Amino acid sequence: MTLASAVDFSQVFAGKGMAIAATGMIIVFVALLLITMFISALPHLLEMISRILPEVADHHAPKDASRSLLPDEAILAAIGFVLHTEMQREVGTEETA
Amino acid sequence: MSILFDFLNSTGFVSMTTGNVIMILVGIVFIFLAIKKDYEPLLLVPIGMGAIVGNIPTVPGMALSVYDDGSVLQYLYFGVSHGLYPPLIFLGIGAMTDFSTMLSNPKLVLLGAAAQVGVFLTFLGALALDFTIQEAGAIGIIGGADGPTSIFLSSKLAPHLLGSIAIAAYSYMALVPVIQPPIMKLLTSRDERLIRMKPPRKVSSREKMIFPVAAFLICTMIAPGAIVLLGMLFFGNLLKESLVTERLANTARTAMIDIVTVLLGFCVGASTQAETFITKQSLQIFGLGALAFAVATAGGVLFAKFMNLFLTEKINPLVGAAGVSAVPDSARVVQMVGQQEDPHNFLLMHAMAPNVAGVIGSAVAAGVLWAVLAPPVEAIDPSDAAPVTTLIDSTSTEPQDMRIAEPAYKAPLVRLN
Repeated sequence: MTLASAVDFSQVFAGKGMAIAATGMIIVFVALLLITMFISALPHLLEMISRILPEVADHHAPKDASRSLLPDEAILAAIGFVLHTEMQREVGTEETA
Repeated sequence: MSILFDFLNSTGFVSMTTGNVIMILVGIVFIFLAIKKDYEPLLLVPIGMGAIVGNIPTVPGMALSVYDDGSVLQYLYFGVSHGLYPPLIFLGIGAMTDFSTMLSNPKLVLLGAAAQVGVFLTFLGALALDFTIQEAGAIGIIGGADGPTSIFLSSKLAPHLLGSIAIAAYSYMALVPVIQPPIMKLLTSRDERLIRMKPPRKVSSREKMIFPVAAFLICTMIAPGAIVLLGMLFFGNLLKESLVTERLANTARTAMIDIVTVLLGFCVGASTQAETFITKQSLQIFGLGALAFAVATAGGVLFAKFMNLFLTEKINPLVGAAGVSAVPDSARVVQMVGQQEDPHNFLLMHAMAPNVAGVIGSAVAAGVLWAVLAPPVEAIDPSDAAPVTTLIDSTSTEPQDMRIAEPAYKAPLVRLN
């Protein structure tokens, strides 16, 4: 039995198959399009709401992850050390060359 | 002596068929691939072991297999056959999903929608191969690349194909790193693969809290058939994002989902008995499954290229392939293919947006197919109910009539003519 004989496209066009496929695809698109539009509008909605109900720091909210646990001076010192080490290495490479 | 012969006749050696041997070998191969090659071990080990258990010939008269009334395996299989386990898995998935990448770049959600074209084109392909319309719907959802959704829908529309559909769905999900890259490279140019996208913006916790409730309302008002799956998905996400139910979220995404995954995988494997699994239909389902994944990948990539015609900030079309909701494998594949062109192009977080949108899209697609294709439940007319006499008043010695409605529901499979 060849693939051509196994496939019968009349079944696809005869009944409601095409209509169901097209409708289903449209419904999925509409649902996700509405979600997209809602997500796009959400920051503006929250901005309006925050004028009435300002967002306060919640004790359940996680700490701001962007805040470093180290003091700024320690970070600067670490960066300076790395740069110094790299520069020393490059100078050493140039001298041997 | 006759007792000895009876015992020998009841052993598995006498009843073992070639099909059972093949399926046991398939189970061993799954376990090997899981352990040695690290192919989806959390799924393939339970499924593989279940396939071995399910293909040991049983003794007639003893309730041993998933299909025997009263057997332990049948009780465990209840969660699969009645669609209980998939929503619980979705609860766990929601509790571990971070929608912030999707919230930061909402246009990528449409790529998750586009990838669902694999579902509906595979649905048409199944019709062309002479499957019934319910069977075609259950097979088509393989294109959503979502194991729990595939099991849920096939339990509702075509329970007799559940084993084949589940094995096909999970097998191809494990093969995403093999199936997707050639299609992605075929449909994109080098310049397109080198497109760098703007880093995602920071999303506030309020947005993350409001999103699950609002998204659930939007999706289920449009497609009520998705209530169960999306309800559990967004409930789990709300548990995570609300910050006041961390214990529940933690349980949902760890212990609970692991327990259900073990039972689901094992029972699906045990249901793949040779006589129900090694059929022409199973081979066709595997072929359609491969087609479904390929079409879904192509759909996402091509839609991304289409969107780029109208956008000033271009989307890297590779990201469209992540609309296939195999989270997070397809996002990792996008990252890998993108880095083959430019090692400093980090697409993973961008790809997670259509990846999680694809989970929502496949659940909506399943809801639509279930709503449209499920056989209607016949309304019960109370006047047709058979009268039953029983004593319901403990103080009275006279029996009193109590009508009990007999279920009139019958679910024939509708062949499309």
